[in-house]
Amino acid sequence: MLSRLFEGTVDRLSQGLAFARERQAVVARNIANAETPGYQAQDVVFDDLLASASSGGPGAPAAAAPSRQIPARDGLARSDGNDVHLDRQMARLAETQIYQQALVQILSSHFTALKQAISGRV
Amino acid sequence: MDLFRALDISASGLSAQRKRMEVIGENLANSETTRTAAGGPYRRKTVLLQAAEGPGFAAALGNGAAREGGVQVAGVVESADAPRRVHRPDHPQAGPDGFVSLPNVNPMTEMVDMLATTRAYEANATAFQAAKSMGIKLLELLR
Amino acid sequence: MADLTVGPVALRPITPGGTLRAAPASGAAGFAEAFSRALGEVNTLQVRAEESARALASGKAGDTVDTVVSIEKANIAFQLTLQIRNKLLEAYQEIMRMQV
Repeated sequence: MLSRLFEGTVDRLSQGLAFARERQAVVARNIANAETPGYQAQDVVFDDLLASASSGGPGAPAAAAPSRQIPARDGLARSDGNDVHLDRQMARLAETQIYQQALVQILSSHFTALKQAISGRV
Repeated sequence: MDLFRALDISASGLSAQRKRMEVIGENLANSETTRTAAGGPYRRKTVLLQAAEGPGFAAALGNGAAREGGVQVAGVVESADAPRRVHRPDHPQAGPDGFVSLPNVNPMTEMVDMLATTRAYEANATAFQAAKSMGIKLLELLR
Repeated sequence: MADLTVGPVALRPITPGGTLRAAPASGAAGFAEAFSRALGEVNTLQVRAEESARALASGKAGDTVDTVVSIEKANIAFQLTLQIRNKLLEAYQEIMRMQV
């Protein structure tokens, strides 16, 4: 009964949050290695297969983040083999941050709405 | 805590760029140093950067997306390039032919590196702030 | 960028009638079963939330997203069962007040 309250919106949103966390870490790694010779920039994409695979009943352990790492391929590599394009990475950083904030707001509203419905008070 | 991973990564970037800045400073300060303790003119130094492994590499929770760490300074190396030979007969270190060996430091190169380093440092600082605010935002769910 | 489609929030009003209707003909017994099952779920959620919080506090490589979300889930689940219990109590008291 209770898991029906949460499956769907809540679980999907928290998967999105896990994905945002992974993506931010990879962008941070790209930025940290912006000057490392031979470094290949990576990106993280949402993995729908992994996402639907996580069952997560009430007692289930935390599932792995539903994400997959792929090469970023922002552009040509420089002479030392490094292909990090800092402006693209900064854009991704901002994107990820905004995405995560949006998810937190939506999830927060959702929890509030559930609590209001339960207590009968608005 | 998993939230600290991104902070550690960005912190490593900040450290590495700081080190680079130090070495650039040293190069510029010694661009005219004709005699060092090891003998011979000062040799240009560069910082060797290397992508780092994360702390929890072996036992990671995620599916590999961010097991790795940030960046690390693998070492500081001296340039093997030949020193600049300049004709200055009245220089105290001038040889019998009137030439003196000056450091192979080109201030223009150092300035370009300094710009790149500054830009990289600022980018890492922004990434650090982003990780921090994302962490704080997540905790708002518990308010 | 991930395509995040959020469906409408499906809220069901909590009424004792709604829960009772779902119970089998044996009425009280069937409902008690369903209710204790729900309590079991709440307990599981709370245990999980507590474990996550403890792991996080001791600095273990926990999943913060999962910890935060499971704490909220446990809170909401608990509130829900508390409200159900309150409504049941009200209904029972009303029935007891009735003139036979």
